[in-house]
Amino acid sequence: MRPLDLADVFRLSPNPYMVLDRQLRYVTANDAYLRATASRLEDIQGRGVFDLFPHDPNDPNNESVQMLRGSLERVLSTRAPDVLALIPYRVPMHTEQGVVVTERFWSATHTPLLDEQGEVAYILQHTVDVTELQQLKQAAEDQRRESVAASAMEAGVLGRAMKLQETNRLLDTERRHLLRLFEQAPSFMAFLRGREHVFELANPAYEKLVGRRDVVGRPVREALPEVVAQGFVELLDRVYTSGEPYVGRGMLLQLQRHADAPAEEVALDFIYQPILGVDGKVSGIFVQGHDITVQKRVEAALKESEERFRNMADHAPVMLWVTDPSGACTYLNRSWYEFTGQTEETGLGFGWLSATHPDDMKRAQDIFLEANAKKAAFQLDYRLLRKDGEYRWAIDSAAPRFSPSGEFLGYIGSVVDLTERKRVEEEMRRFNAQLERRVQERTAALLEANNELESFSYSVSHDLRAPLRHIMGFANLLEARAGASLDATGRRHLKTISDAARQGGKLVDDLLEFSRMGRTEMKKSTVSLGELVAEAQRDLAPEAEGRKVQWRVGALPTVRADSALLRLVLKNLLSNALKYSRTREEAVIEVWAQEGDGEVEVLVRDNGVGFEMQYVDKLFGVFQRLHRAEQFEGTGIGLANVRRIIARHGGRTWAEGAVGQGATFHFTLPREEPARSLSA
Amino acid sequence: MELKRVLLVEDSPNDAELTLEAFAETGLANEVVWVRDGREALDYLHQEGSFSNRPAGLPAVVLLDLKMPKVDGLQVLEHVKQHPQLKTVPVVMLTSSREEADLARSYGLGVNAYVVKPVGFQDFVRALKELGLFWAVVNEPPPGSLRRTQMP
Repeated sequence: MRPLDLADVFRLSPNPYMVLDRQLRYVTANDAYLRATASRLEDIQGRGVFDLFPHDPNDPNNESVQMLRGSLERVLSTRAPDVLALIPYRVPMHTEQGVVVTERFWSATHTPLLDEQGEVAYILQHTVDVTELQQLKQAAEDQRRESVAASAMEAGVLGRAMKLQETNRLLDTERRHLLRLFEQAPSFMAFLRGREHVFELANPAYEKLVGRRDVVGRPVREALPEVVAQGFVELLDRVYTSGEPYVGRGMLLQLQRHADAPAEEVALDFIYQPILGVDGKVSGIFVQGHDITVQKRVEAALKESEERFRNMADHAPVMLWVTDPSGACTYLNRSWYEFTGQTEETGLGFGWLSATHPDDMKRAQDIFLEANAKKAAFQLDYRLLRKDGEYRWAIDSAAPRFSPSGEFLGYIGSVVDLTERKRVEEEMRRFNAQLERRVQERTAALLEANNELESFSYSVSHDLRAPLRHIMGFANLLEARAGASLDATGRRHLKTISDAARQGGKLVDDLLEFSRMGRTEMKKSTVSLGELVAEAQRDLAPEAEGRKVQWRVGALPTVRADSALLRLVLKNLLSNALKYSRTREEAVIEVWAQEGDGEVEVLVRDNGVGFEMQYVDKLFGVFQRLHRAEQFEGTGIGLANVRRIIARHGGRTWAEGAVGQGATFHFTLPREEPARSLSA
Repeated sequence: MELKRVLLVEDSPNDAELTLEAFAETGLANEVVWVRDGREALDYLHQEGSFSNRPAGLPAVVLLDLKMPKVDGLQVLEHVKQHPQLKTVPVVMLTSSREEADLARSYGLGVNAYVVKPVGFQDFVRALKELGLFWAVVNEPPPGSLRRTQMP
């Protein structure tokens, strides 16, 4: 037997066929098609279908062209056959009058011819001329009015044909609708056929889930190798053999989100639904589900945040509570349970009221419920029963909680045991009172000491001065009366008695002066240092008489000070400078001032005998002297007075010098009245 | 008994003797009557007690020590300055101290002068000389006091 020539079969088929390429140009057509369209193959090959058959040349985008183009394009994009149940289309035809373009009705099926890559290479059109049927239908309607009965049979045949066409059309529409739903569904969907779970369909959501790997046509274990070890193939096997669906909720699995990417964890809700074939056996598994990875992550974060809150709340040193909108307590922290000895069973809800002192219960409840109704913050004092049976004063502060949308959620509040704080406050108060009392006692003691000092210096000034005066007076009288009869030694003794008494009197005077210096009230005013220096120079003129003294007085500012006391300071310093420089041929005494940080520094320098720096601390002490009285007279009170007066002004005193190289004395005065924290 | 121009109120015999010595140098020693405390001073001024027989009249000046037993100098001063007949008599405080409180009280009570006894004898003599000369000689005392012209 001669082998079957498929090209012949195609050419000789009584049904019209033609083949278009992707650009919708004729590749070939069989004899039946050429007859039906009154065309020759060589005339149409390579030409566009719509160039040859525009249906209505005046309207290139007419409805019939749109229908035909739509069907062909669907085939190109879906790679699936497409059916046009009924389409009116004008084509040339052989008639008795020759070739005439006439309107005809067609029913067409377009089938994709795929290449090795699975892409549409060609479209095969199989078309049936249904014009006669259509004309019959028209005729039937025309005749209906004349002879309903006569045409009944014809109409019956026609009706069945139309019904078939209509059903075909509906089915096609429905199929396409379902396909669109499948394609656009937000959940991932796939259909796995057969025992090997070969992907037959996978929607874009599914492709996205598995990283757009080309899964269709491949079994699961090959398309998604990473899920095999995770037990999902076994699961599919079980569904396939048992016919029972499997529902997975929040299932975690490791999945490559892109081909060759490292696997990452995803969380899925899904169902494996077995699909039964016409024979009632499982033919495949429909997979559908949602990727809930992000949702899971948010849930985990929330859970973590809540755990953190709980952990913090449980370890907080205060008692904490949370209520719901009804006022019932939904959370109590560990401190609460530890303090009250309550448990969750006895504490949650309104258990706190049973730990509240009976006398406080009504008030506490009223305040709470009233605030709860108003959704307002509140504060409340009440006595709370501690687990040892003691009622403790507590303060409860609470703030309302609202959801992001402003909905009242209840309260979060804290309770602090006030008893301890009250005790500490009481202790503080007692301590302060004690301190105050001690200050008063100290003050009284100081006043007493001051009074004693007063009366001491008073009696010193009277009682000690008098005998010294008497010694001197009578020594003088003795000298006057009997001086002539005394020998030289006797007269020297008499003079020593007199000198000693005078020195004693001066010491007493100086001591009293020093004591007064510390006690007299200060009367501050604005004082010109320059004027005070000039006054001191005038006062000291007698001491400088007969000596060569060079005064170098620089610019001196005004200061806030007690004028009389400050005059004494300058007089003391200048007097010292004069005194200790008298061994120099020419004494040079310099006085100047310099600005310090918030203070004025005054310096007095002489070129006198100076002193040894190791004794500098003694300089300002009471009755401390660095020179013997035979060298330089004095009681050693002058610099002590200087230091005391400057200290009372809030200033500092110091000195520097070297033996034989003069001395410099410094004192400072605050530029402004220093702020006093305590009244003196 | 004649009326003396200077009433010296002094409890210390040493001071009294020194004062008299000083006055001796000015020739006023015989013009001084010395009493030992405030009580005696008041008796003298009022011509009472042991002084009920003294010649009538008031001294040209009273030299008053501050610190004395019984009635002290400030009390005597206060009495003198508040007494209608005595208040015109000049009173000079003679004291060892320069205590401000004493100074203030004395002037508050109307003292005419306040003298701190110097330690040095020569100074003491000089001070007393000047005092005696001024109050007992130069100064014109109020009526009823002994005047220099009445000096024998």
